[in-house]
Amino acid sequence: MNNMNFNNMQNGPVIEAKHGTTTVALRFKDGVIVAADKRASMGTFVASKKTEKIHDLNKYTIATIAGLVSDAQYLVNLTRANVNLFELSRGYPPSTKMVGNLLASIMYEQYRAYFPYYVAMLACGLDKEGPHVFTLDMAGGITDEDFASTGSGSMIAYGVLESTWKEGLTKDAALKITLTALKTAISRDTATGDGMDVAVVDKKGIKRLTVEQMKAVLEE
Amino acid sequence: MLGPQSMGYDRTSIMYSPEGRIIQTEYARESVRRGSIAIGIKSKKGVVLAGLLRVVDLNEPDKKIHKISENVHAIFAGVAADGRILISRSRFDAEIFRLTYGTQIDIVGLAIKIGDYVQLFTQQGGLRPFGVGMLFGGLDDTGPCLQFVDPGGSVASCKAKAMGEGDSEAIAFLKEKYKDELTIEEMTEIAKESIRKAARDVEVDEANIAIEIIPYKG
Repeated sequence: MNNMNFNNMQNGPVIEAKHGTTTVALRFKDGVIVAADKRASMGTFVASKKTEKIHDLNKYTIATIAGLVSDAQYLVNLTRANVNLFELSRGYPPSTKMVGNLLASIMYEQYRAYFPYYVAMLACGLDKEGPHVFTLDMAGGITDEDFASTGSGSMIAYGVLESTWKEGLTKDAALKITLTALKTAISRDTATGDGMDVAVVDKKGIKRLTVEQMKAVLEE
Repeated sequence: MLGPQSMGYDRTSIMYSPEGRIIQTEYARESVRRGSIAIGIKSKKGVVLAGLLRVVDLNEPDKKIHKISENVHAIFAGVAADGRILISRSRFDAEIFRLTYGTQIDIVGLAIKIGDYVQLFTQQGGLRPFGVGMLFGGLDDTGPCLQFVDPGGSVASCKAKAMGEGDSEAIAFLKEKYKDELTIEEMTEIAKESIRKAARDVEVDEANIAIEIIPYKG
């Protein structure tokens, strides 16, 4: 702790650390599919090859993280704590819409204090209103989208999503689109790579895909 | 031998009597019983809140039913000034929730928030417990919901509730008539009739009954 040099923070090496990522989420007929790569980069250095970027918030809501890892992990933990407290006092979990808006409120408050959480998140899931893909920016903005992508490879992934997504997709078709979008980003963005995590949220809850299942989808 | 009341255990809400009672809170419940009657009924078809408007001299009667947010209404019986404070607080809490979560507050959550606040007044020195019983009725993700908060701060989920002057007659009537499958029209009639039972010698007509009918479609 004594060696900490706060001057470095002004020029941004800490802020720049570990924000290469690609996360993808989209809505289909019965729920949402979320995918993310596993690489954490610090500039050109690969800081981690097994980063978990998809986090469960409750039985039907998950978040993806991109940006500063510490801020993102803290926000996930804080949201989980709030979700647990809500469920304990009411006996049922908060909806995806509520979880998304809670995150946005926390991020807006911090943005207005001149020290924003350095993150871009997606809060996705299924509630009584149907499937949601909420994008959250560090200024506390929140929008409900059909599909979304965050991180350094998002522009590449958006190309695939924009040209192939349509209303009323089946789960299999949606999986194919999600994985293709992420695979394309991995191919062309140096800060994205080292495999992927994929999760499906539908009426049965959250289910993660195995590597074999991902391969099968991509080889179809 | 002196009784607990002459020993002064009823002088403050922060002291138990030797029997483990908080006598100030019990007095506060008496104060609810002196208020004009308030009724709430819930079924799968919705919620009905109703109350008797008490006219003092030539005053216009106080509003009996208060809108808290788009999905919640509240009615209270007891000290009007105390009730007004809780109504303002409920509205405030409902807006804070909506700002934070982007959806309307759930009624259980609101009742617990108000219950927590009311409870403070039974444990902190120099404060008098609220002299109101409060009913929150409305619709949320769980469907129709009716919650009761008493002066001690306890929160109860109710099918039907009566509080205020004549509440024992009203509750006896509600117990006799209540079924889970009541329609909105039946609940409205039962609410009005139970107010008539509670009012005893006061003439009850459309002019001095306040009623809020909240139907549930779903």
